[in-house]
Amino acid sequence: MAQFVRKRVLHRLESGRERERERERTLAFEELYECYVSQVYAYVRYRVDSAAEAEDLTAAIFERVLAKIETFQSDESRFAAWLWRIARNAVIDHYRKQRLRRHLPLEEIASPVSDEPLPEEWVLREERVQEIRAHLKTLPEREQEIIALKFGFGLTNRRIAKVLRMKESTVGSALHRAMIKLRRGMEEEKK
Amino acid sequence: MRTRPTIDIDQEFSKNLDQILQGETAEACNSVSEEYRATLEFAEMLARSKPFPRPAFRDGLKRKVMHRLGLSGEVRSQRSAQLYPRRRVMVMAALLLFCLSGLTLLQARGSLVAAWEGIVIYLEHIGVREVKPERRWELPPSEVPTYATVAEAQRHVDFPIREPAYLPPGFRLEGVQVPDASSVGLGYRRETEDRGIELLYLSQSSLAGKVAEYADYPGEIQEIELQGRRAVWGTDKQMNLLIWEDEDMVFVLHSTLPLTEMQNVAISLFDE
Repeated sequence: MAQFVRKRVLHRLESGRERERERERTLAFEELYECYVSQVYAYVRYRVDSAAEAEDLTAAIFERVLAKIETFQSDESRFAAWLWRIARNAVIDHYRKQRLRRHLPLEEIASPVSDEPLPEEWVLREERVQEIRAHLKTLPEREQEIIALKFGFGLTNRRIAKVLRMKESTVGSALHRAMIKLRRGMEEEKK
Repeated sequence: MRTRPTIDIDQEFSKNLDQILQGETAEACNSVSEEYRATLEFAEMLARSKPFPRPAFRDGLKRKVMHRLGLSGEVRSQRSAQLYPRRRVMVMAALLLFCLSGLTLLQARGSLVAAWEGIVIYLEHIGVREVKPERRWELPPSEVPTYATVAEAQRHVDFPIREPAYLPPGFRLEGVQVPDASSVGLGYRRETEDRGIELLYLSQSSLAGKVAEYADYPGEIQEIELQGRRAVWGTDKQMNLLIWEDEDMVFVLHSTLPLTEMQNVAISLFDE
């Protein structure tokens, strides 16, 4: 009897602590979401052709984060590195799947963003992004990735070098080269 | 002959780009080309054109993600909540059985009528008002071996039974229950005119080889300290309890006594 009751009580205490831990984890995760959702979206948007795809992928990335949330450490730098990997892998998977279903008509691949009225600022920005993306996709895959990591996630060259397993100096030169090509491409089109 | 220092243009560009991305003004050195400057301006434009999610999408995804996160965290609590009413009934039944078996022990030397009176007094004392004394009722037979003295019970358990050095005035040992060789229960009782019958039940169990498997206690619980030791204090309208561990033993005191009195009993049991 004593042990029975003791077990009950200790379980109750444990449950209370567990609930507290979960509450803290939820709050921490909410903060991280706020901090990173725009970066994730921006990175993905540089890597795909439409806002709808970027939204689907961003949602999928956070789904993956949730699926592995048990391994989440409340250490922000680890979380960020983990998130970059998930985001990169999601984009790679996206292109892999897209290659498999390339034969599908375009309207079945790209869904409209939304039926709701869109904020004007977002529409204007999206037009600009579409233009950038159209030129960005003419660059080699590695250069696209570097620009997306730089401008989307805002990573330093050192971080990009770690993510892409390159030398920091190689990242620097690839970035400079890619930016020149991108600028020239966009300027030529305007002419 | 002095040579002009060479600039790593890629490194310089990266430095300027980081300045732009941090919202600062890029400070290119004078020796850079026009193309370099044009590329920096282009980089500034690119930074200003950074895509951002639609607010509706961002908020919707946040709701979804936080909901999912909450769900994953609350699955266990939800299950507990679903099971709670059933558990509560089970716990209440277990507590009732405990009271009845305790009373059986306490009234072992008296008649059934006296036992019944004891129950009525006790239940009234703890606030259960719906007892109908006129209803015919029989005490369930207790299958737990019960002994009149600690010395007798000691022969049937494999650990030294501890007795409290302190008991509140008026309490006396009514009997010792031995459910198995690794646990024992000492029942104490006092009867006063103003408070009726009060019980104090001290359980001692050996933790050796036991697997932790916990359930819910219906009352409020909190952690307290008993002379530097961690203990658990639970209050419920039916019975208070105090739990602590000492070496490889767990002790549980059940009583309607207040915390201070139960603490005094507990401390008097500490292995010096």
